[in-house]
Amino acid sequence: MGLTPILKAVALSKTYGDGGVEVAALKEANIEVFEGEFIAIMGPSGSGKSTLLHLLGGLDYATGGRIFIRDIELTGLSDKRLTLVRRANVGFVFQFYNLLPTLTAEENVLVPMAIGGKPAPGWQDKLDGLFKLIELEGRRHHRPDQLSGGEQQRVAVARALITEPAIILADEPTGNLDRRHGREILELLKRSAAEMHQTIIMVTHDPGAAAYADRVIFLSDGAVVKELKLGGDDDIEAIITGLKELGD
Amino acid sequence: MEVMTTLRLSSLALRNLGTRKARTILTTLGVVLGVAVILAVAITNRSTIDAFRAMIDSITGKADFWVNGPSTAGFSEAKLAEVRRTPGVAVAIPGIARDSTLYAGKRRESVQVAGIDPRVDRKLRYFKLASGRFLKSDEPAALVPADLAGKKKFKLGDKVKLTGAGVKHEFKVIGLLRDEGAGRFMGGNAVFIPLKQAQSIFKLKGRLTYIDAKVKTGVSVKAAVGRVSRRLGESFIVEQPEKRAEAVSQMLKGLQVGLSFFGTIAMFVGGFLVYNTFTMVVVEQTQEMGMVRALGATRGQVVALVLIQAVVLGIIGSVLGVGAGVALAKVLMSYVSKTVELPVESISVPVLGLAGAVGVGLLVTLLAALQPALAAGRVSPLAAIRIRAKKSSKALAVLRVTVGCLGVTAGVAASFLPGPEGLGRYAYLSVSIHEGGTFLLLLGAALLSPSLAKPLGYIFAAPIRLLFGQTGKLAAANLTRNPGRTAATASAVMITLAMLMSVAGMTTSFKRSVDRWVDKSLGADVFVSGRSSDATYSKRFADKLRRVKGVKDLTMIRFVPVREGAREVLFRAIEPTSYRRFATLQFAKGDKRRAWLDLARGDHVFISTVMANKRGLKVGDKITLTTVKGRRNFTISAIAVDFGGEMGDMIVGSRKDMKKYFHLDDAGGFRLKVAAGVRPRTVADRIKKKYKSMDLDVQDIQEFKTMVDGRVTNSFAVFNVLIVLAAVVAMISVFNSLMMNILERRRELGILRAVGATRGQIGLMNLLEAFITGGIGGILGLAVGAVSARDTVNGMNTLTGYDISFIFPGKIAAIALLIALVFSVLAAAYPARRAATLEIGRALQYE
Repeated sequence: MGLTPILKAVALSKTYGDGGVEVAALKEANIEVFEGEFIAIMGPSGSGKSTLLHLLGGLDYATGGRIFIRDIELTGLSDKRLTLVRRANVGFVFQFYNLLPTLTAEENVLVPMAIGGKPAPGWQDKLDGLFKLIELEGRRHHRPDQLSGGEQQRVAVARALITEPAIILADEPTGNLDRRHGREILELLKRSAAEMHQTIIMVTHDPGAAAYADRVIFLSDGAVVKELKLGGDDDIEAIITGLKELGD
Repeated sequence: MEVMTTLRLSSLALRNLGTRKARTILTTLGVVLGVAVILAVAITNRSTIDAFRAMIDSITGKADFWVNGPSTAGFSEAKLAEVRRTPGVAVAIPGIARDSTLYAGKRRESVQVAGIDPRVDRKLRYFKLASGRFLKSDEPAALVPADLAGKKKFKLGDKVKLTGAGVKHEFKVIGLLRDEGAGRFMGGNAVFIPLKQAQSIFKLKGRLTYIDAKVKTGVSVKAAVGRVSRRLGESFIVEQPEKRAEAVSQMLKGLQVGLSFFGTIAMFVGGFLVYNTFTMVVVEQTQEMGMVRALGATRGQVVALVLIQAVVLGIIGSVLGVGAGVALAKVLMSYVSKTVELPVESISVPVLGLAGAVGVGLLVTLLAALQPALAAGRVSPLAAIRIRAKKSSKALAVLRVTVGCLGVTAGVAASFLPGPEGLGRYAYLSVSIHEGGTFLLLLGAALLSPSLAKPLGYIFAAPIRLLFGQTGKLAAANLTRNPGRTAATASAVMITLAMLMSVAGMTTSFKRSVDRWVDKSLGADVFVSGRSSDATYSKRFADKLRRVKGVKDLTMIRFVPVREGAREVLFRAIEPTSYRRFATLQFAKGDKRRAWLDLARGDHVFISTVMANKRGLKVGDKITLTTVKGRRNFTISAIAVDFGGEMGDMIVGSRKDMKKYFHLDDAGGFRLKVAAGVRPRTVADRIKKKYKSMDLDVQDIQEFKTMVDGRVTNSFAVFNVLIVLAAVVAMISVFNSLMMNILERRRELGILRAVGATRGQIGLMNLLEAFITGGIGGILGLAVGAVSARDTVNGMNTLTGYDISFIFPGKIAAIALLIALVFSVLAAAYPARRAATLEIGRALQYE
């Protein structure tokens, strides 16, 4: 774990709507994430978790505050620059598997690399390694509708890892899976983070999933209200207590 | 309870329409265009007929019958007294009608000059003066329609010139006519002068060209016509105006059938658009419908939800379509005016056409929405969660392909059917066969297009993948995902292109045939005639022309309008010996050498292929013409290709016969050959300069061809308007289905953006999709168009009696394909932008 934050948000705000009805989804949130950390973001519905994740990943523009990935400031970048920064540094895993239905599993994994134009050297080995990691070596040429939900999500994880981004953002990655498949995904994320020194930020509802993280950030009403360092034996209990305090 | 449900359902449906404004507008536009085209065609057809009727009415006024002489040289004034003396005749008025050119300063207009007897003319004709006064018995004065004066910028009291017998004569404008009654004569292009003046300027001293008459109350018109006819002898034509109207309807039939056909196709395209948009409704509202179903709505209610939207849009679209149809009719009518050479200005709305257009608008909307509505009914209550993997029914696909194959086969077969001649006694079915064939072909191709979209797509996808890498690959893959939609869009492009090809095929083939006829059958370097069609010239003038420097040879032509039964046909009198030095006619039937000998000997004629086809006449048959000497039989010695006559009817005879049977010995025009090394242009200019005062129309061969081409183009111009409309509909279809693709794929686009695709890449991907779709439609359109163009040419041959050989319009086909591609990409510009600027965060949450 490094000493300088890989991801930093300062007084980050996001307000939806203009004129008449305005909704503040995020109110001056401050967050620092260090290299190699596994962070879980929790909070009740509408607390701004997904908004925060989207802002951190450069999927959306903040209406206030600043975001830094290493020493690059995201706020104020043009869409094109932002896209390039995202392409180089961030991988995403979403709740609904979000694979492109017309492409095979292998092609889906390769999309970020293909979009970047030139495949990195040794991509073939990396692809093989990833399919080994997600244990779908035999199903590389299947289309998404020929895969189970858990398998689809594993492909999505592989896609997030193919460009070896420094940061992986996961929005409820287990939200649509049963318990067993959910655990598999979390193990996968944790292992890859350890092996490739990746930083993971995961939004989740599930205290069991959050327990895989190093640190839990609690959001309520668009503000960071509490942080919890994990690593003890009663992590899940602590998380549940934390959630209860938020009134969830 | 039932009422409550329906009420809630319909309010939900209405709210849906209100919230999705853009789509509502697009769908309505589809209906509006479809209804507008059908109505506009109906209005145009009716208005054209009415314009002809009005013209005929204005000619005859309140007359019950009219009398025409056997020759354009008119007949003796003494006949007027004979008509007046005939029992049962109440009023008979004399007149002269002649084509002329009106000069107002430098401005010029072709007009018809009517010489009337001011003392009696108003008994049968209605003159409404806007200003000035009526004519006096014998003064060099003229009554002119006020609109014509306005158009040519002259006013009451001004002097204008009218040509008569090749010379300009001055007249004072003493009265301006309102746009009614006589003011509408010849579509408002007639000038009235005293009879005596007309007799003088047209060199018709003591002669008339027509008599209009009215019978006494209680007397049968038919009986009076019979008595007058007997009294004047068989060389005179005595007929009732209704006969003329019938002939006009017959003459316009080709145009009307053509217009209706294209109108139907436009509705077909409009229907596609509506179908497309309603598929979008279902796509867009899938989640909502799933929810409504989860809340307890039945399948039927969901189907109703979509159909109610269709009905509402159908009604709104139809109502707006009526307005648009009237506006469009105005445009079409201006083109038809050019085709039929008569101003068609006042709009007549046929009740049946109106009801039909609105009915079809509603019906097509409902039918088009039915399939999407049923699809909506099948939306599962779990729609939001399930991954969309549409499985289309296999049985339905088999049915679609089978019907499609049958349609295409029937369409292709129809295009190869022989012309009316080959059909023998089923000739009357020919038009319907070719028209129906084209329709089946289009329908079949549209049904087959989902199956053809994929293989055809590869043709365009391959280079695109190569050029644009992953973006191109994604674009190509997306198209095969929903072949139905790709096909629907491609079909819209296809139909537009097929229409374009049909018209282009028709125009190209027609032009080529006419050009060949001009080269082979006319064979002249320079054409000299009068600006007004009845201008005539003496043989002395021919000798003068012969002596113009550079002229090598000359032949005289004279067109004589003659009566063959109730029909008026043109008799082209030629001088066989000199004519043959110019050209070999394109003989379709008949022994060439003998035919010329017979023609020179007299009492023999050649007839045009059109006339032969229409009347079923053969070489050796006799036709009866009304001559100065009464009815005379002429033997047909040959049948030749001829584009010269009115609607293709033409009789070619010798000048010798013209003199003998019509007492005419002048010339209407001259064809000249120039000496070797002399440019026809130089000679033409020389003649123009030398005989400047004579109101001559002198054209070298190039100008002549351009003029003929221009006329052909004008004749088909009205169809171009319909093509433009179809193109607009096709563009909206492309736009629509791309928008739909984007709505359906919001999340995918979101992911692509999330994993690093730039806006440019997303935009490009959508443009490429449009490009491939346009390409698929383009290729299908060219294939279908090649067949439908054949059908159109064959159908036209049947309708008109021409014998045009089909020529594939290759150059236009290439341009059309290019246009299809460019238009598709243009239509995709906005959807592509929308896709590129999608808010990623929101797109990802969308489900």
